[in-house]
Amino acid sequence: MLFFGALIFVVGILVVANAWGVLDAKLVAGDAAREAAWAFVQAGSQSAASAAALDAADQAVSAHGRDPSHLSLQIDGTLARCHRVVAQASYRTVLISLPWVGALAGSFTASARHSELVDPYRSGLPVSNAACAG
Amino acid sequence: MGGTPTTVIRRRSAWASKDAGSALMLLPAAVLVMVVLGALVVDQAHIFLAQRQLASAAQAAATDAVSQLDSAAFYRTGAVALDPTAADRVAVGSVADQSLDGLQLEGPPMVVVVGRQVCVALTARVPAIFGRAIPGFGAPTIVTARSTATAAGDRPGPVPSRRIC
Repeated sequence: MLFFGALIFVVGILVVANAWGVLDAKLVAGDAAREAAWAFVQAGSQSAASAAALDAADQAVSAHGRDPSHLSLQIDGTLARCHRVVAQASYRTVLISLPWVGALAGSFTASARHSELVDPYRSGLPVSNAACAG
Repeated sequence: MGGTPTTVIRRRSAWASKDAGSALMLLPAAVLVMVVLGALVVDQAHIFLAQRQLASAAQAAATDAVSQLDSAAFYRTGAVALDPTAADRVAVGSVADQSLDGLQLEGPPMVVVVGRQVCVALTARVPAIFGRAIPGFGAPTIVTARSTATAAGDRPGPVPSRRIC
């Protein structure tokens, strides 16, 4: 009886810990996407923008104490005035294998998306009249 | 004087032997309480995360919307003001492009434009994760977020912080 009580307790705590891990991964992905989008629209040129976005996302993940190698980042959009840039970050986190609840075993990928508009009045960037007209 | 402690020890021993096994009865209840508390903590963290996502979306929408200056008004009068229609369109588009997984937006974003300031307010419903399995904790939580952005300009000077929405 005592053994099964302890077992249920441990499994229950692990379920909660797994749920917490998912939430934390979601937080990491959200921060990485936001930082990446912001860094992209603030960059000086299109070629530097992607590197800046990736660097910012890696730093955001590291700031959470997580491994940046589990992060994948996709940026849609071009660095031109009035263009919308969308950053999609996915972070893979490892889950604990649970007895009776085996489906949770393996890894979980949390995704988040963030978009930013390139400043319509910024100098040094190409202008797209169609994008600025809405 | 020396016999009193012995008597006490015997009484304790008898009392303890009557209640043998009560810890086994309490253990499942304690385990249940701990797991339920842990589940509620995760649910509260989920709500906090949702609130954060919503605030981030409102902030991005306000930042995007504040770039929609009314050029005609500027060239006519020199005053920096926002185009309310364009600001609203851009704010709605910005919110649509944010990931708000696990959130159910309650209606479209509320966009208020006053002069060169714009405020975006969002309201969303956050469903419980584990709370649905616990009586009394299954109701979704309503979270709100609002963000105000101001277009910079040197005339007529700094805009005071106002609650415009």
